Amino acid sequence: MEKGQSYQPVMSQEIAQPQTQVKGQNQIMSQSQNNTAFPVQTKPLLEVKDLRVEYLSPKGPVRAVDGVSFSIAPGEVLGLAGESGSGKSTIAHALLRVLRPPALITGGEVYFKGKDVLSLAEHELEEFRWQDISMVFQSAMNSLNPVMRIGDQIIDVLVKHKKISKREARLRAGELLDIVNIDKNRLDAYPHELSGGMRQRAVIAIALALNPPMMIMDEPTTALDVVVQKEIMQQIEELKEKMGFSILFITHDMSLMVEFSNRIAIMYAGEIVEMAAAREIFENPLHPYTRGLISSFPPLVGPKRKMAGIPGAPPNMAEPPTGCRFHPRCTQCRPVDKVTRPQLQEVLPGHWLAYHEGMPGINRGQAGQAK
Amino acid sequence: MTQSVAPAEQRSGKGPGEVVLEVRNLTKHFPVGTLFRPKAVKALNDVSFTISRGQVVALVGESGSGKSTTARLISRLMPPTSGEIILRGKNVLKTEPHRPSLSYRKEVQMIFQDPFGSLNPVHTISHHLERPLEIHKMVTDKNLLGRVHELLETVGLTPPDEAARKYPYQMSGGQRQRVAIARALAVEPEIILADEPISMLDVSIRMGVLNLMEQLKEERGIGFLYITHDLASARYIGDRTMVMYTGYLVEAAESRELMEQPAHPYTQMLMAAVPNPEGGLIKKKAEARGEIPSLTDMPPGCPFAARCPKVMDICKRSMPGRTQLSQTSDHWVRCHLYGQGEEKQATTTAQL
Repeated sequence: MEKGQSYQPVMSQEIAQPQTQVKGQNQIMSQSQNNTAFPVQTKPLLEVKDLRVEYLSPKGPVRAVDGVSFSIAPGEVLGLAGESGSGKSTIAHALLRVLRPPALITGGEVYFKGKDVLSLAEHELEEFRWQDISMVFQSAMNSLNPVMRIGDQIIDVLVKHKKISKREARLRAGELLDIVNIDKNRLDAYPHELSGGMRQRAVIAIALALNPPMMIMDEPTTALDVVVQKEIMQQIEELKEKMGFSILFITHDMSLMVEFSNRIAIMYAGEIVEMAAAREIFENPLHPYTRGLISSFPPLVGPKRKMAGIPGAPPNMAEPPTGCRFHPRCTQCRPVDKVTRPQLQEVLPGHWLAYHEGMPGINRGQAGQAK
Repeated sequence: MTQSVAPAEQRSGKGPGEVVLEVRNLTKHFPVGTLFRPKAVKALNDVSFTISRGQVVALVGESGSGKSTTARLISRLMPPTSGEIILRGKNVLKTEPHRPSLSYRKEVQMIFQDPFGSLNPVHTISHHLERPLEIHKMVTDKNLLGRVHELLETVGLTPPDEAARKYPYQMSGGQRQRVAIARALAVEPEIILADEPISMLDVSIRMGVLNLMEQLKEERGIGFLYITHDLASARYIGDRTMVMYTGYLVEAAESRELMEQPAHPYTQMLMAAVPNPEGGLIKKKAEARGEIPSLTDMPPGCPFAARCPKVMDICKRSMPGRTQLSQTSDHWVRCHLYGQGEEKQATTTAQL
């Protein structure tokens, strides 16, 4: 928050931000590290302000992420929900600075423990990635090297970042497999010798290798069966409690998200349209899109009722709709929504909503802390 | 006449009408290995069920459990190793052993998982719908386009003349899946085999496709085999749900009863694993560990024994037969916990 005043957009990945405040920020951060009473009170571990990412195309830039702001507290799980193409994964890649052209970060700020991530130089990035934030990708099949033994892939990370001997790294790799419940003897197994669930565990072991304070999990269990999914999610939960890392959890499965996250941000067409505590999102969704998304997942218990889903199709991001991007599919659309873009505002304590004055279903009177 | 074909206990007690399709002891083993050491992947073992008019039968299971193989055998994209497929009382594998007749293909249609792969990119939507109409001589040439538009309207692609002129790449996944449904509908089938029709679609449009299937079931009495790995959607649309594990059907009942009183330990495990926001994350240690057995060397006995929290000695020796739990909803389970033990079905599977 202290850095709010330096609000100049970063025009490309390489342009550096002023570095002056970074040191002081770091100290503040380390003091508040142990305070785990999240979400709002603690100093955020990660702060994203007004992030914009564009994909350059011959027909002009496609803005995949358009002014997204959020923060993650130490030990917190922030869920990022939305359909494919809404910009979830692009955010994840932008945070780690692994976007490749034609994708460019065209604006915004990202602070991790006060460190300005968007201005890190290449050699600093090497330390930042995995040391500070590691990532679990969607398909373990594709994120493991098929011709390298599992153990060697973990050892690689350790030797590269920790400057320890191969022998020590191997011992540590064994421990890491142990942590994720894979037999140590599997160090010499190739990925194809492991089941899908075990592969995903191995990927998590690699992500844990440097004990980072934050992990990004991009659809970590989407390719897995429910039983295996459950096992893995429980494992992550246990590890999180033990090690205290934060998670940016990306999925399109609202049920899993509500179960697993502390807070949820709902994305639509490159924007966050609603953000609140997980239970609040589930029990009191305010945005018509959030409501539609929740009603796209039929319940497993209780009376059978007709679920509507959402009419229409997600927008073409090359030509996003004017005003509120959800308006062509919205059943409660008013003329103002077609023209002006609603801004994300805190309409209830801790409940943020992209919202226009007089939006149906939202009573300003009840919105205690509304600005 | 058709009713006499199905054993009485396999007919659903209430609701849907007569049995249209029945499969009996359907088995598919894929040969692998070498000439001198032949082996088989036992993809499907002894699968029997029926689909009635206007009934949605959901088939759930993990990937690799044999769900898609079931659909492919019924659509006769490949021949079964053994077993019978009976359509309206006619044992089609006997009467038309080599390739399915035109009339069989008309009655049993299929919708595939991937709407990006199941439409030809170089043809217009209207071409995709005209072809089945022409091949099956459903309409005269004069009425062709009118019928195409009608079909597009049925599946909610409006305005139809515009949709008909488009190419697949100009449509979204959900729209393409609607085209695939329209194509299946074109020949007025009795049964549609829907193989994970919504799993590749954006979440917000999935319900639209499911609701469309429901509507077709109610208005036209089409019977569906709905293949999915998602129990919640099986409950939403399926009148009846069958659970498959390593090529065996292990339990089946009316969807509601199955989900409320799952009997088989595997079904119970599945139900416990489905994320359920109403309940919150249950921080219970997962009971079962262990792997799904390889389909090439299946251990004797119940394939779930290695992961089963309630495993008994007998489970490792023999495959249980079907035990009827409730007549009213035709709830049966294949598990030693429910007695009766080794029926003759168990021995037949052992031989295969």
